[in-house]
Amino acid sequence: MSNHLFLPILTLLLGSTLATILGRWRRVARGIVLLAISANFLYSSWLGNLIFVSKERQFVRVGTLIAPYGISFIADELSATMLFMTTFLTLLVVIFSFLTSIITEQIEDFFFYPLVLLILLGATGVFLTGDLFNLYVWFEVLLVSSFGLLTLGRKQIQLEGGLKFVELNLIGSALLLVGCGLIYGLVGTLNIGQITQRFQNLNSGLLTVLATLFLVAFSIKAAIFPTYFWLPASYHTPPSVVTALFAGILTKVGMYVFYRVFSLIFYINLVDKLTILLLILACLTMIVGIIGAIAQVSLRRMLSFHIICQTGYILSGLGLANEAGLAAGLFFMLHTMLVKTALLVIGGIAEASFGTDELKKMGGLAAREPLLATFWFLAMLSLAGFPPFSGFIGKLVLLKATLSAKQYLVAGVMAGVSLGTLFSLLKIWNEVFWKTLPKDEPEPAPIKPYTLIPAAILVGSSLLLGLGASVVLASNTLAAKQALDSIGYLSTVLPDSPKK
Amino acid sequence: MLALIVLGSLLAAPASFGLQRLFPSLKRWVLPIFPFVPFTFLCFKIPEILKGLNLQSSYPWNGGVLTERYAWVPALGLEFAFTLDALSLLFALIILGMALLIVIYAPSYFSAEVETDAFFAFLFSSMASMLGLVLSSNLFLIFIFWELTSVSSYFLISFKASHLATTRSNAQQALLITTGGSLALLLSLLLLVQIMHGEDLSANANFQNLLYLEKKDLTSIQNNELYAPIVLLFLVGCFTKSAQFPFHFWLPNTMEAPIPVSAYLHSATMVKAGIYLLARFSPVLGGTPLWQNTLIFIGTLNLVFGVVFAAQQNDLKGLLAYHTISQLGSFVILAGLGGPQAAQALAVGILAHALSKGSLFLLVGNLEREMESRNLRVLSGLRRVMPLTATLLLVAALSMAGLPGTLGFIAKELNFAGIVANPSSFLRYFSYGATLLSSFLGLFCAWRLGKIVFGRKLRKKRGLPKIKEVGITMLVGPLLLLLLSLGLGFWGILENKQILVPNITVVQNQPAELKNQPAGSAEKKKEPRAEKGKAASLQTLQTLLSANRVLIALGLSWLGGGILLFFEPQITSSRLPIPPWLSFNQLYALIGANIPHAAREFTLLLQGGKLRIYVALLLMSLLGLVSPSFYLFVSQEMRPLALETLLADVRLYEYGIIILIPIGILVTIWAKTTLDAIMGVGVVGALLALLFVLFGAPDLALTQLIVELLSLVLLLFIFSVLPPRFEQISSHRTRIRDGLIALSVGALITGLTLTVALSPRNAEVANHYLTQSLPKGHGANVVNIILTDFRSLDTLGEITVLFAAMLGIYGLLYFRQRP
Repeated sequence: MSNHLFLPILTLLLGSTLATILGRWRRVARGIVLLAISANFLYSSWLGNLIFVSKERQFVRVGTLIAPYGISFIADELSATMLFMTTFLTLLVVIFSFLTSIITEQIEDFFFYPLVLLILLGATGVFLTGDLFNLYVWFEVLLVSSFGLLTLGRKQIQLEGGLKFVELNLIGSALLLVGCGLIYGLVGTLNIGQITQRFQNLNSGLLTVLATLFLVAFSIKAAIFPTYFWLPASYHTPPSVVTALFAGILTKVGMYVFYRVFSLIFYINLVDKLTILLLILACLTMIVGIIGAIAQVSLRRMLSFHIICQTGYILSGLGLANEAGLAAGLFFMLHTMLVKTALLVIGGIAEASFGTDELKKMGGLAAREPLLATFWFLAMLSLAGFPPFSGFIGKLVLLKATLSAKQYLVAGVMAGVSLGTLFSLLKIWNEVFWKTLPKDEPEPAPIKPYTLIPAAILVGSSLLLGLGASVVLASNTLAAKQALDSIGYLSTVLPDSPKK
Repeated sequence: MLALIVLGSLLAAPASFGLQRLFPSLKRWVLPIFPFVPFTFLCFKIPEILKGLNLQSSYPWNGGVLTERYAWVPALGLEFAFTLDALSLLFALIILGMALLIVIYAPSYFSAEVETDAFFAFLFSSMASMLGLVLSSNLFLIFIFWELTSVSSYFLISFKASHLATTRSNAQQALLITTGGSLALLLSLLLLVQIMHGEDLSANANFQNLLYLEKKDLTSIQNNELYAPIVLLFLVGCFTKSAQFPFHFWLPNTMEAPIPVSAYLHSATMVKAGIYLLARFSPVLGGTPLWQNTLIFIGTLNLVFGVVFAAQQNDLKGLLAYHTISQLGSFVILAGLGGPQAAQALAVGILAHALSKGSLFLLVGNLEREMESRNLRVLSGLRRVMPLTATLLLVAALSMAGLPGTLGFIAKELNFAGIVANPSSFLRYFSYGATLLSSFLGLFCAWRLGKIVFGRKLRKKRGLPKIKEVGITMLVGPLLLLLLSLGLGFWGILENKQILVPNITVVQNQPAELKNQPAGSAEKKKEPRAEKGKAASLQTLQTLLSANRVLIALGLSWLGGGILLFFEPQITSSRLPIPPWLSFNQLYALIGANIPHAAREFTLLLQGGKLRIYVALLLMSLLGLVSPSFYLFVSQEMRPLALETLLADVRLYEYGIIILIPIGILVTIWAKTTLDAIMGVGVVGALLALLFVLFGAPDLALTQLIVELLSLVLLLFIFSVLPPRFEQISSHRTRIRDGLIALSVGALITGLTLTVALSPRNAEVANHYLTQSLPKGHGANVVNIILTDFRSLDTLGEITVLFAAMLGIYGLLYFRQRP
């Protein structure tokens, strides 16, 4: 039993409550928020290290109830990695928002930071829970608090975007809930481990039906083709800090449950029938995402489509349905979380400076702010998969896994889309940084050097992830191994049940 | 040490930048140190490499070769592995030497107001990436440096020049094309590693593994079904980088870049990278008909078209650029032919090309700076105003044309020898003819260059400074290059062209053949691969050519070139009838302009902005993804159900509710006024609550009723500010479509629920709750105990949802943008 698994939940609950109550004193509230996230960051690094070194899953039951009657929390390398990266990104985004004035004091007073903590809480719950319905509940926390952040500021476009965001996501949640109900009706349990166990004995075509139902539900959460519409409809509307946070976290939580549920509950169906379907969806997501990105003329909209495109890559890792594929997909996920946040943070600085993110109204930033331009260029190279950044290693492992699974067409799509990524990002580079400022546009406001710190850390982390890839890959391989090891998972969650 | 050299050159870029910022006055003296130190070091390695080369061994890597390895990502087979052998030494010396001369040259070339800090940083990063490419021996590391050459060239090409916008779009074109090619290369390398190591993902992907392959393993690679895609992808990578047709067009477009950039790109980096890789991999991938035919075909095409275009250019740089494409074509042919002679010709050719093209570009830079023109029709009389530049230009042109006494001569001789020594294919005669033709036109190009020197003096417009000879720093580079070319040329003749022979062993395909013959004796070479069944006439032709065929070829080429000179006006003024669709520049522009447009159209199709469409698409994808498997399940596994069993224990009043619910829904749908709709919804909710009561869940019923009441109040509240009657905003057709979608989704979910409800269930957990609720939870109401005890964490989560919703709603209600 590892009671410490509750710590991050408690910290965040307490932090968000205190920051709400003491919100009147901004400095105090900020201090609480920073403290809560930093504590969680330290905890998640400790947890990740613990699992990586011991190779043991951490497990705790809520109350005295024995699984499967109660809810249990379980952390393996996959959840610990995701927890670490999510907390890290939230920390950086919060620091970024402290350093800039993109989040005005007025928005801050409307409980901006408590909502950020609640988003992190939702994600943390999803990563740690071992119960399917509980997972749904944490998803709700995530959804409702992100809706709150999305509409904070109450501009017309925010409300429009928020409506689309919440309605389409609610359909996803409803499907998830229906799925939970159906599974409970079928096997009489909600414990993920036990569902897996009983599904293995239940040889029925109904499982494939359920798998496709969950596929659609998770696709909505992860913004997979053809259910991604909420993302480009809403991500450009809130303050850029919010978009940066969403880009790093929201869809990736969806991808995490994809990985979790399809490597355990539906693994047999996945291998049997769904791998082709997943790969087709992944390819279409990449292609449609990159086409969408090329079509855009404003910075944040373009980056939103890139998010979709990248989730296609991550999904294809799962679609390969083997350890190498999962590990590669996970590495790619970590990479894109970092770099996407980096790009949006840098884009946010540029946007704040120009007062707009329309490409044709921007220009000349390379000469004015060489440091910002350098960071953008490096992050761009990373996303387009240039060495020695994490993007290159990510592309390399994913291509390698894809090719050795003999999915040549998928590999071809990956390569082609990566060229498209470069093409579209060069457009931003040309428009925002290289071309001279259009004559009738106002001069951009000068950028304070210290606001670049989070961007520098993010780009540096991407470089570090590339150079130190051997350690991270080892961790990812362990994560994939643990994720696919249903017997190990079961014996952790249900130590008393007869082992198969 | 090799790793140190690569690392040092990588650091040279930022270091040079910093140094120039700190000590601007010292840059002339400090900057050359960066390439000079590794250059000298590698020069000292020459004897060792040459001595260590064991011409008798099957692989020359074994002796006298530096190898270093450092771990990076073992799981991928990626490591820092560096090797120095004759081939990489040749390239490394060219790269560093050219960089050295350009660093000396460039400060005088750029006018004082141009900030060159960044230029030198880009130049050094280009140097470092190219150096890394030729020194590394891990396949993935090779690829990494390969990509870095693209990126550094991007900045180098787009460095401040006359026309900023075009230069930058050209730089982008070069980057996109070479990156596209490098993706193909990456796929090819990955496939190669895969068939080399199979499932063992972590086996290191070092080149030596390929080289030490047994003959049978090599054959197994070449017989693998993936061999053809590997070769083709590999070649796409090399051809894009080396500007070979049909990817050639980016190279002439980079003409707008400053002269030092062009000189470096053409002589040492970027375009040479593809040739290097072809030479490096020919022992592994080469020797097959696919390899030979493709390379010879593409090479010949470039050889001819490049030189034809070159002959017609009036822009000096254009002439040189197209001539480079043609030269690269001849290298591609040689790499395709394989065998010791071709390899030897390739090595010498690369050096000769670097020397002549490097010096020519630098000299054109001198002209551009002083005469402010690059137009061949305008420039003349150079010998009167710039005698030193004129002399050097003449020598460089002679070397380019391959006249005796220069290294170009040796290269050309070896080139012919390499082609005629190779008996393997029909394409040989093809390439032979093409090489002859290109020699004619090459001579012609040299003649046009030479004409600048003579002729009448060019007059400048009034008010401009007088044309004068450039300073020593702008002459020393070309001078050294040409001295080397002349020296090696004469020495080569004296030494019976044996000086660069060792290079051949590295690139050659069949090292064993060397045992039979002294190196360099092309004439005596037997023809082991000639098939016996070949037609006798072919053999007669070969005998005829065998003795003095090289001399014949050289004689022919000069003769032909000489004849061409008489037709100069015709050649330069005529235009090749090339249809516009074949002009790849236009094609690229067309694609580049239309892609965003097409992408916009396509994206609007899906992402049109209407929520209703999104919901419809989303639900349709739900139907599309879930129903097929459900249908499959129903048709294959489901036992047919009698209606009686379904309705067996449904009581009469339950029928009433079941019938009333759809009626409530229909009322809502067809309601004309908002009030009717609200009432319809209310009825449905109340009936649901009633169902809960009937099935023994009073708590749920209570909750449901409260929710209903609340939503009723809320809806009334909202609708009070809206018009009382619904507007017809959608057409009949869309409503039918939406209705169908809604019905299908409802049917699907109902079907699923019924199916699950009818399947046998496992009530272990449920029974546990029922029995343990009182003893453990101290409550008789099981639902309550589940919510507050057994699954209290869910409840905590739901409370948190409410908390988050409260914060969000507070913001929505009270947030006012402050003015």
